[in-house]
Amino acid sequence: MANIIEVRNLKKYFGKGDKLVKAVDGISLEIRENEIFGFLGPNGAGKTTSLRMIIGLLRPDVGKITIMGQDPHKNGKELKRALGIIPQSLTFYDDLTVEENLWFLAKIYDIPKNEARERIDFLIARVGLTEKRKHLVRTLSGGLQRRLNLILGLIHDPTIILCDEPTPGLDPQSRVAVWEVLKDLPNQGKTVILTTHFMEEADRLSDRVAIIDQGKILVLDTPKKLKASIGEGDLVEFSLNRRDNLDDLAKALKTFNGIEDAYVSSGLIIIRALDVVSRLTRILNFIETQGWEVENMSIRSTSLEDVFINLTGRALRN
Amino acid sequence: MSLKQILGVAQRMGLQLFRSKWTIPYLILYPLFFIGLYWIGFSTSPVGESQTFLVGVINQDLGLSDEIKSLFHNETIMGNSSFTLYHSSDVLDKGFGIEFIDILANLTYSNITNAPHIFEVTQFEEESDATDKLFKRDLDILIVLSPNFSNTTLSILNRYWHNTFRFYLHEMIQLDFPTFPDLPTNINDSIRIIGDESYFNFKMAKSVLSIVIHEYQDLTTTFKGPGGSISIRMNKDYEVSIPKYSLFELSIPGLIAFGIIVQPSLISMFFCMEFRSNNTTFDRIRLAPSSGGVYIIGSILVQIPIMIGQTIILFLTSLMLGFNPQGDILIGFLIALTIFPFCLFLVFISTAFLSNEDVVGNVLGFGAPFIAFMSGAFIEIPKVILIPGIFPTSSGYPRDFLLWDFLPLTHTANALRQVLLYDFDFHLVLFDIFMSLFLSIIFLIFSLIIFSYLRFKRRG
Repeated sequence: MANIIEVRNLKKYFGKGDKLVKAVDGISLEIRENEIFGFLGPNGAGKTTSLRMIIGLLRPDVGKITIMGQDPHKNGKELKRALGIIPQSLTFYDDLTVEENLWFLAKIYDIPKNEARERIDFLIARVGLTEKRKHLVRTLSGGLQRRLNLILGLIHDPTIILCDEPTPGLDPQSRVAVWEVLKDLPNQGKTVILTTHFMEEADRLSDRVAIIDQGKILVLDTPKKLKASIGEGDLVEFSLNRRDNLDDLAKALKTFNGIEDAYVSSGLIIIRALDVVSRLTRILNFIETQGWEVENMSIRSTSLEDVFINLTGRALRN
Repeated sequence: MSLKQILGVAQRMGLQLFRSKWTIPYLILYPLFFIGLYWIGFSTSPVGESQTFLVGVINQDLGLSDEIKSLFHNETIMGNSSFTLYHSSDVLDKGFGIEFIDILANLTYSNITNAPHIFEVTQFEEESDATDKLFKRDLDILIVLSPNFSNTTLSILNRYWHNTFRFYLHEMIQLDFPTFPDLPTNINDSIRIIGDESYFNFKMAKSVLSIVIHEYQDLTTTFKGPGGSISIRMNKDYEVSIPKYSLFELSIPGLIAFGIIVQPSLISMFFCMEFRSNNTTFDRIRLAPSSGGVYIIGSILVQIPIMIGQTIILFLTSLMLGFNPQGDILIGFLIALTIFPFCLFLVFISTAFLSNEDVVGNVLGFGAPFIAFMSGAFIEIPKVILIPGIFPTSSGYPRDFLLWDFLPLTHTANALRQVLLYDFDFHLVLFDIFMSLFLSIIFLIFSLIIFSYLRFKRRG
């Protein structure tokens, strides 16, 4: 697939002297046609700043961005038509109805009336807002508002969709509805750039993921390869009755035969091991002999969070 | 930039305004309340009935000719009467001019107890001295009595005597003095009135004076010797058509002007919500293939009908509460529209700098009355002359450029007042209309530049 977006050595600093914040510090990447490209990182990592520079809402201090061969800061009309934004914040007029919001943007994008009508009907149906189309947006639930926020960015049928944290605070039903729409976009010939700090979201949706922290890209690959990069095996998380000296406990567990890794994250002991179930009894016994009691335990596959922890020593949610 | 985009912005803002809980209070109830409050407070307070006008007089009257003097001294002609029975003794010696001036100086408003004089008369020798005072507005009006004023006045007596007593004054004079010329017949030809047509004190003084002159003709006509009507009766009751207003009515033009510049506060409050730092809805518009012009024109489109609607409400409310305009209400309405660009200026300049609707509401909420006050919409404010006599007027007397002339509302309020209260002709308020429009547009252009820079260009 050809590159649709190319970013070279992108930098954006805020403040001066001691208060200098390197929001984005030398990012370079290529985004391919018809892929979902994920930016994964904690809050303040530089995801949204990068995105705002890529779409032309923020001027970079240094660096070069080309989208479909054009500079987004030149305000090319064709390029603007090709870009769709689904911002993190809710960007609609809550004193208009669902339909009025969509009609407003259709007019701003100069979409012919019949085409706009078809597009509005399609999108409203796609996210299950048909019954609410005549309702004022302020009367909708947060989940339904988020769905409207999504389709507002798609009203002009853009080629590239920039999606900034699309599902914070959503109920599971709305989250799945949003994911379904996003997941389907590459099938319609669209390219999606997704920023998120939800590892599950990035994992499920992204074809490739760039993990970003403190303004720098730490790794960039497919979720599968990223997860594989930290080793094989499943993970078991232990929540213990006390949180003191957990690092010592993790070090001790790490020496166990067959345990690939053991570390502390967010107050939990996390152990990665091949065939982890068969080793559980021995692990539990050891923990209890060391003076702890296991309050809770869960087994899961390796996630992108583990990749992040592996890279930074911190949990993504921290 | 396409029409569809512009209409899209206008339609969207229109819908939002229509649904806003503040629309009805601000656009309808507020002007009703404000004018209503004035009506309650001041509708029974009469003012403006007893204004004293500053009149300058140059008396060039050469008096009566010797032939006529000798005729009136002839006791045979005068019979049992004497000229001085009906006129001041000076008239025969000094002419009718001094009598006319004396009458002017002693005229009072007959319908008001202890009323002040209608005219405060100052006599001048040189016309240049008088016009200098006129220029500085130390005089409202200047009257020049021409050298043949007395002869003209006499001609009226002649006509009357001829008709009533077969007293052929002119023939009698010509009997003894065959070369004596015909007497002029129109007193107006011998009184020259000078002043600034665009100054409403002049206009008022002139209208009162025209009645006085008319009365003076009648009076002199009634002087006809024995058995005739009595001497100087200029103090008699007669109607002088000075418009009588309550304080409420006098305030209406200013209130209308003020009411119009109040409404930008609602639009601005509403408008600035778009530019809140945490509001990214506007980012969608910025990313769309439209320009700042679309947004600006669209927003203007939605503001114009609101402004027109509110102006209509202001006029209708005033009329319903008893305001009786002397001039053409339609012209008044058109004059009121000239302040619209200034209203747009207030919207754009406030939202260029402020992104908090409460702050905007407060700034314009206090700012609009302040501007109206400084524009003289509520009370007359002291003149601060910046450049004397710079603006030409239709009267030929140039007008000063005052400090408050920088405010377009000053001109709108002036023009509204002159048309609605004093029935000035349209051409007499053209200067104010022009200045109101001109300054408003200058302000608007300035605000658009600032707004475009701060809200569009600086944000990329």
